[in-house]
Amino acid sequence: MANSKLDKITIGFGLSGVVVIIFNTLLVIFKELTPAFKKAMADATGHHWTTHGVIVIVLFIVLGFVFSGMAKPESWGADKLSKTILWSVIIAGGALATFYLLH
Amino acid sequence: MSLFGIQVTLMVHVLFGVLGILLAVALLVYVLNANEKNIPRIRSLSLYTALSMTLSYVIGGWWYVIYYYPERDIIRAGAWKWAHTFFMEFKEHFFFALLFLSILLPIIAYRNDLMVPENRRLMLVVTLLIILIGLVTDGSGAIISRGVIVGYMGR
Repeated sequence: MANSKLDKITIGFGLSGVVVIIFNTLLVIFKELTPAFKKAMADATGHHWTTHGVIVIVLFIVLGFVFSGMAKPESWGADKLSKTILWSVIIAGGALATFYLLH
Repeated sequence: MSLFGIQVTLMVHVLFGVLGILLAVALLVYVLNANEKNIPRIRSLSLYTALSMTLSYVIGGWWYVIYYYPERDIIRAGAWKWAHTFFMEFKEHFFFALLFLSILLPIIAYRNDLMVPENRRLMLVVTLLIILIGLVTDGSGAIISRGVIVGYMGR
């Protein structure tokens, strides 16, 4: 019989992706509007974008495992996760494009 | 690194990005026609897509941090300065969404029953997003390259 429930690691990393995709846009807006913070990011690794990458990638991995441990497959079906991922990309991408159009 | 090496590195970044998009399109077709026989191919394609996009990110990121600054200055001094101020800025940050979705792809493929329609729909949504974001970032890269040419033409 087919197992219709999503596995916990899929839910965990799916939700981590949602959170980090949104956080990625917020981090961009914050660093662009706060030059001192952007400079601190650049000083940390030599380039603000490298630091940005380290932050979001580490966060994605850590939250992925944290959410995997907390995930309840009965509350997160594949369709619900699909819609959440889709909306996070639309909102984050739209906000990022709008920010750079206005900035 | 020589000028030739710098240009080849950039082209390899683009090649892995385009390869990742093509692999995702192939994956989309297989998922739309999923059956017990092609599940192993769906799983391997999801892994190759993730690897290709990750390589594109690592190579492109390294090139961007080390070699992009002179080109950025040329673009910003030219008539198409928005090729940097909008397209590069957008691309370099939105690419992270592509990276995370690409990493998620094999997790979905290897850890779930893809004969369940809901699970296949999740696979389809993530694959479609990878294709769309891939095309947007690829197109942005083309505009950035033309921005450099336009910058030189104005000198």
